[in-house]
Amino acid sequence: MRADTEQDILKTELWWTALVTAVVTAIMLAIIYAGLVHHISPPSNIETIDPKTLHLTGEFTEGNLGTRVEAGDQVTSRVVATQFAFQPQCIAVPANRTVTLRFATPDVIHGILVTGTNVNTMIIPGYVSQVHTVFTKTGDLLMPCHEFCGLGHSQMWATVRVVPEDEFKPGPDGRVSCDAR
Amino acid sequence: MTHARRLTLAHLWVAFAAIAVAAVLGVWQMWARSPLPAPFLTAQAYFTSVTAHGVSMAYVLTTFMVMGFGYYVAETALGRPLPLPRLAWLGFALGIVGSLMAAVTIFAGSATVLFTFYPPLTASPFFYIGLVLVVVGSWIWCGLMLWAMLDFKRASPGVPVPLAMFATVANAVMWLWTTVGVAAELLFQVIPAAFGWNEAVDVGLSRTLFSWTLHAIVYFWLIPAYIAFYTMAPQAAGGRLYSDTMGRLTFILFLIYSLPVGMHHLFMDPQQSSAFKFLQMSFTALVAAPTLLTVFTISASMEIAGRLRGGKGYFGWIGALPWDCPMVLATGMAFFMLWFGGGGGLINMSFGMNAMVHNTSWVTAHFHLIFGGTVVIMYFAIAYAIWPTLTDRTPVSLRYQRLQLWLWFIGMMVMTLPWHYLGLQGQWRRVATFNYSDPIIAGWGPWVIVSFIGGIILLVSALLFVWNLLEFHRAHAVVVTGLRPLYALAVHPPERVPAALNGFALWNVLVLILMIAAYGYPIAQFFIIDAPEAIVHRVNGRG
Amino acid sequence: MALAPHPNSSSQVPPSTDDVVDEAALERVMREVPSGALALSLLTVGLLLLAWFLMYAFVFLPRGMVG
Repeated sequence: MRADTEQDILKTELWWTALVTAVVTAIMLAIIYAGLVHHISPPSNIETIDPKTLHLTGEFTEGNLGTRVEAGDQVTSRVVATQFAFQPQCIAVPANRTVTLRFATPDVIHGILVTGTNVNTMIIPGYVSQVHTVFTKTGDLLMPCHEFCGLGHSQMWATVRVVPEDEFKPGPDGRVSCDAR
Repeated sequence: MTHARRLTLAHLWVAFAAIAVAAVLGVWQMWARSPLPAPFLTAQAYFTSVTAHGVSMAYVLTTFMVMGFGYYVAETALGRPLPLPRLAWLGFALGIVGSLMAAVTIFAGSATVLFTFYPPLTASPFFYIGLVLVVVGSWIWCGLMLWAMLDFKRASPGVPVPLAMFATVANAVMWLWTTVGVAAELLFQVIPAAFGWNEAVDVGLSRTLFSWTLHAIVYFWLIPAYIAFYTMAPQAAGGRLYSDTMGRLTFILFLIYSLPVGMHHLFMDPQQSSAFKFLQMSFTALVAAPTLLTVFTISASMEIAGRLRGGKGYFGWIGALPWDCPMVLATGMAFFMLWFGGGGGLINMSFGMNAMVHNTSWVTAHFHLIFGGTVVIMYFAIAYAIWPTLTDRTPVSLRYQRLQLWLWFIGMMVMTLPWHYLGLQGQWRRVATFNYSDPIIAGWGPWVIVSFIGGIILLVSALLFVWNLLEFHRAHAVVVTGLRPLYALAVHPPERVPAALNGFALWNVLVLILMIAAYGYPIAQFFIIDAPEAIVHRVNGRG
Repeated sequence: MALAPHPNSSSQVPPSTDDVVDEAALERVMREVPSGALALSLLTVGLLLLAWFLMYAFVFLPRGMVG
């Protein structure tokens, strides 16, 4: 005759399961809170683009890359990832304003992160990756390619230059580049 | 043990040879990434090494270990000879041929695509065919495990399938489901592209199909370690398994929830919507449950052993455990590493938080610690525990087994903890050389070196492990006969269990429903929306 | 860990066969189990949850909005 019957054991395990469920639920609620209240979520934009022609016409032609202030004071930065460089290799963005980053690639899978921020996205041929963020600290941040894209992957990175708001002055065409400092 | 002895030894020697080779490559890779100048360092050499290291550790070590241990469990837990041993040897042969084929293409420089081989980067078709052969060999194993269990149930109706075998078959069933994703990707997309029959590939589809496999595969690797937790560690410690029923439920939960979660590897991808990312994240939260349940059940089982040995109070039982037993020592170390590795996994899973860590060294740290640490240390312990019954010999002293385990544990902690920190600093993955003159990167150097030292300790441990196994085969080993394999008894060994806890028919239906919900539209969408394809980029020593 | 020959044990064999554990001792011990396991599990899982929240509050949220 056991002091602890199988029933008792299962009851204890059930209590523990309830506790485990509570722990996991707490984590889920915190995640939902971060998503809804702090607006921190994984990229959610699904938009296709033809890798074979993106450099020829439309949004990602060379002349249209980099940072541009568009209608409604919207700051958008467009970058093309190729084997093995980002075009442009430096983008200037204002601090404390919403910035939209858009990426595309004509060749293989790349990805980026921006050091010290939550900006992180894959760049997949066939799709435009879009991320909205607000940069709070000024200075030069590193934006490396973080997904293996071939033998030159180790040397592939760009710079994100976060400029104080009062120094962020777009030219007549709305463009802001890293050199104009 | 009729057939398992030779089958198990053959499979496990292949697995452990793979660890030894991969460990050497791993140390060189860490040297390459550090500020210290490394020999033979070119981008081609580095990425060849990373591919070889990844394929050896993720596909060869694991598949052969799972198969070999499975054959052992099938004969010893069921007490019956393995059915159709010739098929088992065929599976082994396919695995060997496939591994060699892949190895040749890797070292010839025509498969520097890493073990994840994301298209449109495309290797020699024989690389992929090699991997397919390994998988087909493992499917034969799956069939044999199912057959052995069904055979047992026919011969002993109403008798509960012993937990070790129930878990092994759960793993086999899960593996059959798991491999569908990568098999579809390889057969319909990657291999045709590699042969030049297609010039373009739908990369969104291939990444989604691969994600199907990519998470569940880690549970394929992990289940043998959990089999050791539930059925070997309590016995080794001199106690009982707290609950056989919870053991069965744990393995069922792994079967159900390992699969519909792969999209958490795609949180940062642009081809899947937030809705499905969130759904699969919720399932991922559920797959944390069996591990958290295991922590309690195994603690209780070990507590029984500790209290039987005189341990008192809330924690005294821990000190009272027979830590000189390698299985007990490894279990303790495995759980310690599980706190860090599992905790890191919770962060990875946490949706928006994934952005802090995706494709950084944090991820590398996580899987080395949870797999290389918690799981592989139990592979070592399993080997030490079953080698006497496989060889009818024991070494004179267990001291070098314990030393090897300590070195592995210390090496793994020293290697992976700095990587977690570096990942948060933004250190990204799959880099052959870092530009240490950059001010941000320069600060990482000392930690990279610390991590490198951890890797060296691991290499010493890996070589000592092989040495320890060879000790069994040496003349001065002690010959023992009549050893019987031992599995833990539960506190209340079940005399009957419900059909749902003794088979998988119901659970297969549930898996199907969950997979349709989780992956149905995410895969179907690629046949509905007009996603432009990416041009195939062949890798042929030129990048 | 004992390596002397033992009779075969597996989880479907009734406890009346030879095994290393003495029935009376097991019963005595089962009055306290799983208080130790609960203590250890509560401690470790509690620390895990705490660590997760520290990371959430001090690393993740400060890194700012993104989506």
